Amino acid sequence: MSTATTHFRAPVGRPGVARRRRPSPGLILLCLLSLGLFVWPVAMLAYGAFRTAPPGFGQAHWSASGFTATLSSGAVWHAFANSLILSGSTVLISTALAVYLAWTVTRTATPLRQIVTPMAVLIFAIPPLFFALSWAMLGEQPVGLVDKALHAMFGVTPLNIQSWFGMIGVSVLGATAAEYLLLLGPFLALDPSFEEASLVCGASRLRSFFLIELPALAPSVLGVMILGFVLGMGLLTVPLLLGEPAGIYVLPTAIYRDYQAVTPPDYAGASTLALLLVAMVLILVAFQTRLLGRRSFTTVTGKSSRRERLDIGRWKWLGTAVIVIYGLLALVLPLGQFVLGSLESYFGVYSHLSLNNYSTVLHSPGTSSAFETTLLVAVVAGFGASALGVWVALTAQRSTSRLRRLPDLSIWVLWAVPGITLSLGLIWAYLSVPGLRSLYATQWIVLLALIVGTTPIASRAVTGPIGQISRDLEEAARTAGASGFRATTGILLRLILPSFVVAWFITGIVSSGNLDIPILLASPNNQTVPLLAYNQFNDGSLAQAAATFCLLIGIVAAVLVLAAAMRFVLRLRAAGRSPALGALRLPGHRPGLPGRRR
Amino acid sequence: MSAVELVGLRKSYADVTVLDDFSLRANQGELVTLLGPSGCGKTTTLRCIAGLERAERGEIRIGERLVACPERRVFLPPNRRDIGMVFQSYALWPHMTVFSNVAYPLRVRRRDRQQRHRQVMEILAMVGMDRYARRPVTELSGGQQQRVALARAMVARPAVLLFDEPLSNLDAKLRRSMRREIRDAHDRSGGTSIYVTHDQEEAITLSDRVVVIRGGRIQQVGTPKEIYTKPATRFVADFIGFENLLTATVSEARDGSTAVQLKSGAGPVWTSKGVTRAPGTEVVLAARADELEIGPLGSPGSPGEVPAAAIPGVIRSRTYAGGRVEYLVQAGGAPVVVRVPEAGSAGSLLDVGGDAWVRFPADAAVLVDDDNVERAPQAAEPAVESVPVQGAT
Repeated sequence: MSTATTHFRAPVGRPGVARRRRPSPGLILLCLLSLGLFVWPVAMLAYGAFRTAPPGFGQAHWSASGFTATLSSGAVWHAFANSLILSGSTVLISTALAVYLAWTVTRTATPLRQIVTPMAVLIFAIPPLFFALSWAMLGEQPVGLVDKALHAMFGVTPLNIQSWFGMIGVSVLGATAAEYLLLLGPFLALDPSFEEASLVCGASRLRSFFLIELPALAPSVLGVMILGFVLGMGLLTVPLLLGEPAGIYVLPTAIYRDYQAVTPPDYAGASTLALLLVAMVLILVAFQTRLLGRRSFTTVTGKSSRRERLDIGRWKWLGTAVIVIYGLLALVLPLGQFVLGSLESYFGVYSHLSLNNYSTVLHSPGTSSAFETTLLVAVVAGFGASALGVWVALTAQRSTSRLRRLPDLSIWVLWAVPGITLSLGLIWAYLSVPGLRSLYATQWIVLLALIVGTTPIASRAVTGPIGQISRDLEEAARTAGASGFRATTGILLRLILPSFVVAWFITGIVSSGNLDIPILLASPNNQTVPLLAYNQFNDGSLAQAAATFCLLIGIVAAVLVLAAAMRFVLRLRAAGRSPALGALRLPGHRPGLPGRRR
Repeated sequence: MSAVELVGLRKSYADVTVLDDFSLRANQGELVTLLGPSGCGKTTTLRCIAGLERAERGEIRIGERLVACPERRVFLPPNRRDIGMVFQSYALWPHMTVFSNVAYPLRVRRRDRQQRHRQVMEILAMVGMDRYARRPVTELSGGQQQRVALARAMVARPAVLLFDEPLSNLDAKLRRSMRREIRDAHDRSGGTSIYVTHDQEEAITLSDRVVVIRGGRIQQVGTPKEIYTKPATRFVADFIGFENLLTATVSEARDGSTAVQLKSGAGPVWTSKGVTRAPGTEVVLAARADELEIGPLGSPGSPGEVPAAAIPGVIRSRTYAGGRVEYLVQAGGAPVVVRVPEAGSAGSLLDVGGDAWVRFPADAAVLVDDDNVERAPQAAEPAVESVPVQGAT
C-alpha cells in the first residue's frame, strides 16, 4: 500500500521548486576528492594538537598536554604577538601604499603611472623568497650594496636589515604589489558619477575622495586588507631570513622550528600553533562579515571613458617619486644585487667578477635535478590545480544537486590555513594514510601538496569567467543537434580554455617559487629551486644562491615574455578571423565587473 | 539672480568636434531643455556648465560670475559653481542612507546639524521620501532613487539645477509622473534649470524653451509650441515627429501663403505656415500623419475650397493603430503616411491597392528649409542662434 502511494507520488514534481537531481557519480567523486584533499589536512591539524605523536611515529594516544603546554608557554604568545605586529603593520602600510598607487594610476595624470601595473605583475611573479634573500644580501654588513652605499654616505650604517624594520619593510614591498593588483579592478569599476555628484554637491576633489570614493570602495579595500593580513600571518620566508637571525620569532617560524628541531617532530606543539593561526583567521573573517553584513555595494560604471584624469599640479611629482622609489626598492635594487652577487667569486668581493658561480651551479647534479623537479611540479601542479578549479566551478554552477556547493566550500576552508600551516596539515594528513606514507619525501608528495596549496588561487581565477559563459551557448549547441558531450567539449570547454590557461600560468609560477611546502615536505634528493637557494644561503654560499635564483628568475621572465608574445600572436590571429571569441560574451556579462547595482 | 550664458563654446575629443561655436542663454527662472539624438553634444554642454568637462574655447557664465573661459584661464571647479545636478544613473552613494545622501551638500557647505536636519527632512517630504530617510539607497526602487537624487540636487538651493537624462531609466508610466514632479520642483526652486533629453515628448511637455541640437550645433530654439508646430529645418521636423517630409519647390507666394509643387510633380499644395521663400527655392513640406485627410478617389471632399489640393495616389498598406487607422499612400510619387479616426474623413475603411486622394489642409503642412541631411551633412549648416523661425510667425 505504502509503496503504491510512493510510486504514485514520485513523478509529481512540486511546482516552483527547482528540480534536484541525485548526485551523479562524478559529483560524488569530486566531493570525496575535495574532502580528502582540502578538508582532511585542516582536520588533521586539529586532531594533531591532541595526539602525543605524529601518525607513523610509533605509539600515540589522546592527550591535551601538548596543547596546554604550548598555550601556556610565554614564548608562544610572544611569537603570536610578533605575528600580529608584523602582519598588522605590513598590511596597514602596504594597503595605504597600494590605495595611493591605484588612485594615482586610475585617476591622475601622474607621469610614469603606466609602468606601475607591469611592475606589480613582475613583483607578484617573483617568489617572496627572492625579496627576502636579496634584501638579506643588500643589507648584509658590511658588504651589501645598500649597506655599502649608506656607509659611504653617512660613514655609519644606520640600517640593519635583520630587524623589525627590515622584516616589515621587505614584507611591505611584496604585499603592496599584490594588493595593488587586487585593488585595480574595483578602482576602475567604480562609477565615475559618484565623484562627479560629490563635486557638484560642493565638495572638493580631496574631500570627495575621502568622503565618497574611499568609503564606496571600503568593502574591496577591507577584503584586500583581510586577505593580506591572513597571508601575512602565514608568511614564512621573510621572518625566517630577516627575523630569526635577530631573534624575532613569529608563528610560522615557531611552527617550522617545532617541526624541525626535534625528532620526532613536536606534533602537538606545531599543530597547536597552527590552530592558533587558524583561529585568528576565522575571527577576522567573522569580523569582516559582521562589519559589512549585507552591505554589498559593487558598482558598475556606465561611461567610464568620460572620466577626465585629475591634474593635481605639482603633487603629481610626488606620485612619480613614490613610483620611482618603490620600483627601486622592490625591483631594481634586489635584482641588481642578485645579478651582481651571482657574478662575485665570493659574496662581498666586488673585484674579479666572473660567471664561475653559474658554471659551478650548472655543473652540480643537485642543481639540474632541482630545476627538473621545479619544472615538473610547476607544470603538473599548475595543471592539476587549474583542472580541479574548473571542475569545482563547473559543478557549483551547472549541477542541480544539493551537494554542488560542497567542493567549492572545501576550497574556501584552505584560505584559513595560510602558508606553512597548510604544509603541516598536509604532512599529518598524508602520513596518516598508509599508501601515501610511502610517498613521503618524494617529489610526488610535494607535487600533491602544491596542487592542494594552489587550487584556491586557480579556483578564484576560473570561477568568474566560467560564470560569465551563458548557459544559452550550450543549449544553443544542443538545439543545433550536438550531443551533450559534444556541446560540453566543443562549446563549453573551448570557451573555458583561455581562463584555464591563465590559471595554469599563475599557479605554475606560484608553485615554482613556493618555499613553504618543499621546506617541510621535500627531502635533500628532490628539493626545488627555492629550497636549494635557501639551503645554499644557509650554508653561506650566498653567491651561488644568487646564481641559482638568477637562473630561476631568468626562466620565469622568459616564460612571461613567451606568454606575452603568444598572446600577441593569438590576438593578431583572432583579429584576422571573425567573429572574435570575445564577441560571444553576452552584454551585461562584462568581465571584471561585478553585479549590477539595483 | 542666476541666468546661465554660454558664448562660443568649443569642445572636441581627439579629432572629433563635439561642440562648435555653441552659444545659448537660459534666463533666470527658466527651464531650458537641450534636445537631440545621442552624440549630439547635449550632455557635453551640460557637463561643461557643471565644470565636469573643460571646453577649449568660449565663455560660461552663471549669473554675473564667469565660471569658465579658457582664453582668460578662468576655470571654477564644479564644487564652487553653486549648482545641483541629477545624473542619468542617479549616482546615489551606495554606502550612505537616503538621509546622508541628501544631507551631503549641506554637510560640505558646513551648515549646522539642526539646520541640516530640518532642510533635509523638508526636501524629503517634498519628494515624498521622508519615510525612507533611514533606508540604505540600495534598497530603493528606480523611481524612489530618482526622487532622492532630485532631493539631493535641490537641498542646498543652488542657483542652477542640471538634469542629465534623469528619466531615461524609468518605465513609461513612471516617467510621466516624475516629469510633473520635476516641473513642480523647478517651479518651487525659483532657479534656472537645464535639462538634457533625447525624448521629444519630454522636452515638449516639460520646458519653457527647447533647444534642438545636432552635431554640436544649435538647430532651433523656441517655446515647446513653436518647436512642435513650426520646426525650422528638415532635421528638427523629423526629430520632433513629423512623419511626412516631402521635397518640394516654391511655385507661388501671396498674402502670407505659399504654394509648392512636389518634386514628383503633384500639387500645388498651399500652406501658410513655416518659412517664406522666393519662387523656385527648394524646400521641404512637413506634415504630421494625424493632420492629413484621405478619401477614395472620385469623390473629393469639398471641391469648392480654395486652394484645394488633393493629390491622387494608391493605398499601399493599412494598419490598425489603436482607435485610428494608418494608411501608407503612394501619393504623387512619394510615400505619405496618413492616420485618421477609424470612422474618419474617409467615412469607411479604404482598401489596400485602391485609388485614394490625400489632402494637406492649409494649417497642417509646414514649409521648412532643407538642411541637406543626405547630401552635405555638417559643413553647410548655418549656426542658428536664438531666432531661427523666420517669417510666418
